[in-house]
Amino acid sequence: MTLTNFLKRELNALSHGRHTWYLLGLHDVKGRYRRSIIGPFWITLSSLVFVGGLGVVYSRLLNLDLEEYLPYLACGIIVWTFILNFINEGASALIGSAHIIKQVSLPLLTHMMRVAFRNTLIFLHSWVILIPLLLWYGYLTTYGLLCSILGAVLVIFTLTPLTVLLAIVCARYRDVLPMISSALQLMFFVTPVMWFPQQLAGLTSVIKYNPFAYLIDLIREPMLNGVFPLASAGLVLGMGLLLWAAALALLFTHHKQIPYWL
Amino acid sequence: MTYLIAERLTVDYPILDVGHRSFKKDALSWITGGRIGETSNHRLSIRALEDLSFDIKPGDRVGLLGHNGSGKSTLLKVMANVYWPTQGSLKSQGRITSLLDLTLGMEVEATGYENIHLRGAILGVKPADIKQSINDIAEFSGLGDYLRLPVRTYSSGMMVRLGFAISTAFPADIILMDEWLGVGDAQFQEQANSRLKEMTSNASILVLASHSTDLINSVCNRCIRLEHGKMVQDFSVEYSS
Repeated sequence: MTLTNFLKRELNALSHGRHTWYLLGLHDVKGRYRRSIIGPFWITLSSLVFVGGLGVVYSRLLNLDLEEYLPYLACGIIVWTFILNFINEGASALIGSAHIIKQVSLPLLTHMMRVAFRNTLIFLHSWVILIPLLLWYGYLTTYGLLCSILGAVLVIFTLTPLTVLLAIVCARYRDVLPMISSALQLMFFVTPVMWFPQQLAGLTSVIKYNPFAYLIDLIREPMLNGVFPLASAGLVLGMGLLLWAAALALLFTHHKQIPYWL
Repeated sequence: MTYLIAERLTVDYPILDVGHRSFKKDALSWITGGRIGETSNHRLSIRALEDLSFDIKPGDRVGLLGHNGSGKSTLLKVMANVYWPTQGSLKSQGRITSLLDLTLGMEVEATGYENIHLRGAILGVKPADIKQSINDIAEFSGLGDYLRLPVRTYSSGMMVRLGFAISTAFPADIILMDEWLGVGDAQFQEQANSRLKEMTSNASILVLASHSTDLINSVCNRCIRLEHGKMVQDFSVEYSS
């Protein structure tokens, strides 16, 4: 298959074929609502319980104002949960859709897009809860809200090709999936989710070389401070473009083998 | 113009057991330049199809005959563009409908109507086309108000009826089938049979894998016999009915 044919087929998942992943993703979310009153809000609720408990204790531990710490922590945890689930579920997108891949011929991107779309919908559930919380503490501005939406779009743009890469590697090497989830567990502690970057006391390289810090910054910063972090945006956009190129390249060289691996 | 042309088509299934799926071993062998982890480098594979060449033209009703493990299903999946030939090529032109797994993509918690959309999406049918044929599908399945209930509440026969109704609702140029479908109770079977006959006669190519010579004699006009992945016979059959 030539490169043009390959691109035509795979990118069709983003144009004419988009209703396939749209419908599948939508039904995944609907599935979580079935026989459960609050459905995906359970994820939000558990985040909120986590934030509430942690906020009260850690604001004392870190000697911070609850009014300052709680909104920061809430934004951080909710965005982190989104990134975490996006990557974990995205990495298993091909393995999880094995039964479909082995029966019908669809662009492989369809399966990654389904996971991306599902996680975006679930993120929206949590995000909606953030708005009243931030308004209560007097943080949110309309401009900031719009900027954080733009930030979220950039984050999704960058994470999607990352999951394409991971999903291909995970389909071939089954050991990688648990490796990813334990690596992400570590990342949670070295990424400024629970603590402020200023508290690092000079150890700035932890943030400087941590792509997750920029991803979180892109959504959290506008919501809290009403400014759009241009530097982070540029960096994430650059990462996204590189990742898309890498993802399409790896998919091109391996798409014929993938059904045999599953 | 519809066609299916295979040229020296070969399929090798790689066997990826634990040793071959291990990232550690491959990483070790990359780092050490292949000195460690070398033993696992002999990649095992099974040759499912070997050196098949054929040219299926419009109007051909091809029966694939062969024992278990002779490669019939693999060949159907290559024709459905699920598996790629590891050597040689398979070229096809035309809208392919595979009737291999009728309930694929259906979700038990979703209602019958939702499943029509879901299954349609997996088959790559445009939403507008699904909407257009939804009444036809509902009527043919004969499930009536059951379609408003979750598929979880269906009997297995009802589920296959729905799957069949959806899968056969859209016209196809090439139809791939593994055995003639027997669906539901006696009355539905008759309906299904006539629908399948109508659909296959409208399609320009039919490929049907089967163990039964009788079935192939009654449906097909050409027969390809596979043995251990090789094509041993390719002959035309007279319609007996």
